Amino acid sequence: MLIKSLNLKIVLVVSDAYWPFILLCSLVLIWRPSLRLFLFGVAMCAAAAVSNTGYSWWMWTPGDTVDTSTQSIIGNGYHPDQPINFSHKLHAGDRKIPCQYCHSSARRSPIAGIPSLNTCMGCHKLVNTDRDPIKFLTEKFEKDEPIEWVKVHDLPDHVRFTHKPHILAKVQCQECHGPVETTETAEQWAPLQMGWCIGCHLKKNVSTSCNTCHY
Amino acid sequence: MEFDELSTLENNKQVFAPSGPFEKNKAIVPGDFYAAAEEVIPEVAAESSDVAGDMEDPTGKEFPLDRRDFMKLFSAGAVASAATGCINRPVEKAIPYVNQPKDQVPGTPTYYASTCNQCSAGCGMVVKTREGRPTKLEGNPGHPVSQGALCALGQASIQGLYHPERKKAPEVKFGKKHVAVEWEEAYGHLAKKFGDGTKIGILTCGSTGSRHKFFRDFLRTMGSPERNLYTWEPNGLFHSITEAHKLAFGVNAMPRFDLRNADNIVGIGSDFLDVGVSPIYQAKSFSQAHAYRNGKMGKLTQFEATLSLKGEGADVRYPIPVDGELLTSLLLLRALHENNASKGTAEEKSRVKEILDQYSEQISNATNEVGVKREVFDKLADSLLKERSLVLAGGSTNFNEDSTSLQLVAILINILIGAYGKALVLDRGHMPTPIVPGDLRRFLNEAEDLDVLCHRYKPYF
Repeated sequence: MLIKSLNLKIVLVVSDAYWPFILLCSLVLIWRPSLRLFLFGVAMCAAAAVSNTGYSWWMWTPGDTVDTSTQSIIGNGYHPDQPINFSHKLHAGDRKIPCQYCHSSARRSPIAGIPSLNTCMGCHKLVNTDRDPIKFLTEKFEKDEPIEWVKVHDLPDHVRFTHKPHILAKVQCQECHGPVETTETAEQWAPLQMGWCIGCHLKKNVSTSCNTCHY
Repeated sequence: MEFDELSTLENNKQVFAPSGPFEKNKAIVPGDFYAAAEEVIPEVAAESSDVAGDMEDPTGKEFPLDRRDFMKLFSAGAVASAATGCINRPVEKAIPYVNQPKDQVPGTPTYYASTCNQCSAGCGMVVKTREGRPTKLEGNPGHPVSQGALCALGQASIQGLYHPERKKAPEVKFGKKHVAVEWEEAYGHLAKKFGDGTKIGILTCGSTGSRHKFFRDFLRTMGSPERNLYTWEPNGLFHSITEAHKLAFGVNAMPRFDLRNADNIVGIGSDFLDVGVSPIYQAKSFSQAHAYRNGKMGKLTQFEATLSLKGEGADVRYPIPVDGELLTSLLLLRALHENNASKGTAEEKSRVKEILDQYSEQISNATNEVGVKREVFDKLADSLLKERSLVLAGGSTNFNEDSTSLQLVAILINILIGAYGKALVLDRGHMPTPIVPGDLRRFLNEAEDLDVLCHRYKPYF
């Protein structure tokens, strides 16, 4: 009885981080196996996980997490704030700069690559140096500090997506990234789920073998 | 397949081809399959059930959950949590370069050609780097020494780069204490130590590139004589072989052992497959020499005191006493000299005779000491003179006062069997600038008066 009430207290106190409770519960179970205590523990876990605010006990995520109240995070629509409001509409749309002028590693490597700061400074040493964002860039460049952009398109680690073959097969950037030239800051346009990948692969009659992407 | 057929396989060269006669074999039909012994011997089942009955827990206490219930409950808990848990998405940052180097493309490795410096062989290697950090070392396929391979030592040398005890800053020794300092401060200490710079010595290893030239330029610029550059190798073979070739031919050179051009190889205490002069090159060329080619296989005869990797792979192995390499090679030299078919000019043969006379006392007792019969050497001499052959003597770790004499005798043997120019090549060798013979002795005599810069080595003498 004492142990049970102790468990309850621990659950209530550490409702944000359940792993100590699970640890304790397992230790008690090893010490004195009891079905009732086990069921109680499982029920507490489930209840706690349902009322979880930040993260759950079994998948603790380091660092910040996306605010689910304002952002859609499954599938498309992820549109986080960036250090500066870089406008794709201005650069790619109005000024008609080709995508791969800045994202030059897209045709050479797995990742398209957010351009390095010296790519920005190539033009902005001279262009619009009086604007605030450009001043921010110049300051960072002179201090030799990189800009920490927020990653928008993020695939699970078990997917080995590479840009290079897609670019070489002349897949347009817009087919996956949407009408980038009409949007301001970067936004996830496609759901990037496996079904969406497979759909396009079937339509274009290219490999849908598992180890094309999972290897 | 009948056993009679097997005897013909030896003459049939197609046996080892993929579409050989083995494919015509009947499919293997599995026999009866039993899951447990009880199916075959019912008595066992009866016995084991009795035993199980006795073994039952007398206390009656059991874990209240069996495995299936545990899995059910646990997965129910996991699913309940997963329903809310997996929708957390971390905010991930993407941090590009400030100044992207020209040879770096994010996400792709960059490869650089380099030289392995784990041993004195100097194999060419390819370094895979990601974002400027080496991650993997492999042999350079275009390099004549490594030919695309890299030994275990070389592969592991990447660990040295990221070793936690690796020095990350220069250290200055004050009394018994080593203190990490800035480079500027270290240069200051060095400058103070060197004074006018006329008494600087440099101790370094053999080099494949322009390192020695750089060191000589440095010494000249500082005002010290260029002869203050001393070379040293931990591999004893480099010293004894270069010293012996200096004495025999008057050249600073290290011959290249091209085992591909030898069908009959004799090793006298040699460890050319383990370390030798250049392990990868020698292992690669030996695998070709020992392979089945031109209708016959290469042969390796090994005389050695302790069983080595090479002794295990040898066709014939004779155990000899420790430090018996010199006597063994002298016995072989005598056998070759007495053979009428031996090569070499009359002058060379008279030199050999002189040496054999000089050592006649030791040779007369040698057969007993070495423990290998005289007929063995006579037969070996016969076969060495008939085929393309090579004699390798001395191990990399056996470095004693006899090492140079041993190499000299090996040179004479190789002259008598005509190995020079075929299996022993005095071209640029494994290393364009190997160690200079006599440097170590010179260093020991002169180093006391000098301020010595040590490159790669930390001498305790």
